[in-house]
Amino acid sequence: MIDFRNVTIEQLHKMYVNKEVSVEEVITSIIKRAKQNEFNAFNEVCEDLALKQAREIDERGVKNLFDGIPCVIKDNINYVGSHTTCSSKILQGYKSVYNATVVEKLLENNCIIIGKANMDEFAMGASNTTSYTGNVLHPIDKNRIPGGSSGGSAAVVASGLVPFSLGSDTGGSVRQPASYCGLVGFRPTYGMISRYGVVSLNCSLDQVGPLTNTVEENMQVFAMLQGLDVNDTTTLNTKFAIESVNDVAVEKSRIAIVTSSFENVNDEVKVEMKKVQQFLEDQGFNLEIVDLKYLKYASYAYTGLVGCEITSNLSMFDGIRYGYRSENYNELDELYANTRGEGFGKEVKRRILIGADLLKLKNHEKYDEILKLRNLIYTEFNQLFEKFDYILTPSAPSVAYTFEEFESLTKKSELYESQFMDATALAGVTGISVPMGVGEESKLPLGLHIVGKRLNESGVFAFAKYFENTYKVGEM
Amino acid sequence: MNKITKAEIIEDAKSLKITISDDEAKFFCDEVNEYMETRPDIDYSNIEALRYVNPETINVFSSGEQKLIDVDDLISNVKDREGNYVKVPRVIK
Repeated sequence: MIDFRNVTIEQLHKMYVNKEVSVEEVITSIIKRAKQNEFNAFNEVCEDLALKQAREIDERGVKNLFDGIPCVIKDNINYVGSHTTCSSKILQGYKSVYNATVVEKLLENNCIIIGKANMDEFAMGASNTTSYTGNVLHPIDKNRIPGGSSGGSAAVVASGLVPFSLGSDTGGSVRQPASYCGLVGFRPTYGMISRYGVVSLNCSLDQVGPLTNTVEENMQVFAMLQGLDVNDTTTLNTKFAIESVNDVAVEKSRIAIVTSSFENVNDEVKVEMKKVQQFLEDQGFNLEIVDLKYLKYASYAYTGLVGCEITSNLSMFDGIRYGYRSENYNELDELYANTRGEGFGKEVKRRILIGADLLKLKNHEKYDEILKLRNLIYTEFNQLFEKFDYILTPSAPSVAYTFEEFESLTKKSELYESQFMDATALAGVTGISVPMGVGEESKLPLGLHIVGKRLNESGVFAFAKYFENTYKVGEM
Repeated sequence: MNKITKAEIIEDAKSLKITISDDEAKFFCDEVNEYMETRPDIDYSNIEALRYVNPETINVFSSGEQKLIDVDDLISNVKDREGNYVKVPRVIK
C-alpha cells in the first residue's frame, strides 16, 4: 500500500510509466483500505467503476500525468454511477444522473475516483459534526474534528490514502480542514472552477478546491479543473498557466499580516504566526502589520447571505423527485413538510429559518446592510491589494479541537473561528492554506492562510511554494 | 426591532414546508433573534450593496449540440411514478 503522504502525483506517474506497479494494483489496495473506512471519511466507495477504469488504463498504457491517479470527491459533487447525498438524510438513495463539470474533467484526464467523501450536511459546518452519516475523525487523533465542511476530503489525503481530493469552499470549507490536517487547501478566485453539478450551498460564494500534500500537486489539480463552462455562467474566461508561477518574483513581494492574526487566536497560533513574521523579515521581505477594520463582521455577513441563499437553494428537496420521503403523511403538504422536517438536520433548519426571516420585507433594510457590508469588506481587501501582493492570516485560530472542545465553543468564538475564511470568500479573492508548523504543546498542524487579489492564482501559488520550500515546519 | 415569537417561527416553518417540534421552535426562535439583534456599528451611508464580486459578465452558449439527460435517467430517482409521470398524493378531493 502506497502512503501518499510520501509519494506525489508525479512520482506515482513515474512508477506507472516504469511499470513498477500497475494501476489496478494501486487502486485495489486503496479500495481495500477505503472500505474499512477508518475515519468515517467515506459515504460511498465506487469500487466497480474505479476498478473498471484502472483495468482500461492498464490496457491502454499510462501516458499523461493524471492517467490512473486516484482521488476522492466530496459528496456534494455529482458523479454518474454513485450516490450524491451531501451527507443529508433528505438525499439518501439519490443517484447522480449527470456528471459535474469537475468530474468530467477528472474523467477526461483519466483520474480514478475512489469514492465520495463524508462532509457536513449540505456543507453547513466547520467540523464535520453535522453529517447524517456521522462524524469524520481526525487522521492524527480520532478524538478530534478534522475540520469542515470538507472533512472527509481532508481525512483521505491526510491519512495517505490518495494524493488529492476535491472539496468545496464557501467560507473556508477547503482551507480550514487543510489547516487542521496539515494539508494544502486552495480556494480559487470565484468563477475559476465550474460549479455545474455541485449541489449549491451558497451560489454566490461556492467554489470547488483541491486538497493535496504539496503546493505543486494542488497547482496541477487546479490547472486541470479550471476553465470557462457553458453550463455555469459564473465561470470566467481566464486561464491559469502553471508556467506563469515561475515568472513571479516572490522575493520582491510586499506582504501584510493582519493584526487579528495575533488576537482572538490561541497561544499556539500566536507563537507560530510570530515565527512566520520573523522568518519573512529575516528573508528581507517588505512586511507590514495591518488592520482589517471589517474582518470581525465577516462571519455575521456570511451567516446572513448563506441563510438567504440556502432558503431558496434547498427548496427543491421535497421528497417527490428524489431522495428521502417521509412515510408519515395523508396529503401533499404533509408529505412535503414531514419529509423536509425529518430529512434536514438541525443546523440546516436553523440556517433556513434565519434566512427566511432575513428575507422578509420588514427586514429588507438589514439584508441590504449585509450586502453593503460585503462591499466594505470587498473594498477593504482591494485597497490593501493596491499596496500589498499578499495578505497573511492564520488559517484557523487554533489547532483541531477535540469533539468535546468543539461542542463547548461559544457563539462568539465560533464567529472568530471562521472570520479569516469568510472575509476572503465574501471579497471574491483567492487563498491557500499551507502548513506553517505544529502547535508547541498539541503537536497538531497549523495552517498559514495566504490571500492574493482576484485572479492572482499564479502569485498565490508562487508564494506558497516559496514558503513550503524555505520555511521549516516542525514534526507532527 | 421586534423579536420574532415562537408562534411566528412555527408559522415560518409551515410556509417553508418544514415540520418542526416544539423544542426546535424554541431553539430556532432564540437563534433567529440572536442573529437579527446583531447590528454592527457601521455607517452605511453612500455604500452600495454588493451582490456579485466579478465585474465580468460572460454569457456563453454551446456551439455544438447539447447533450441531454435521458428522460428515464432523469426520473430514475422518483419515488412513485407511472411511465414518465411523477405521482404525488391527491390534492383535489
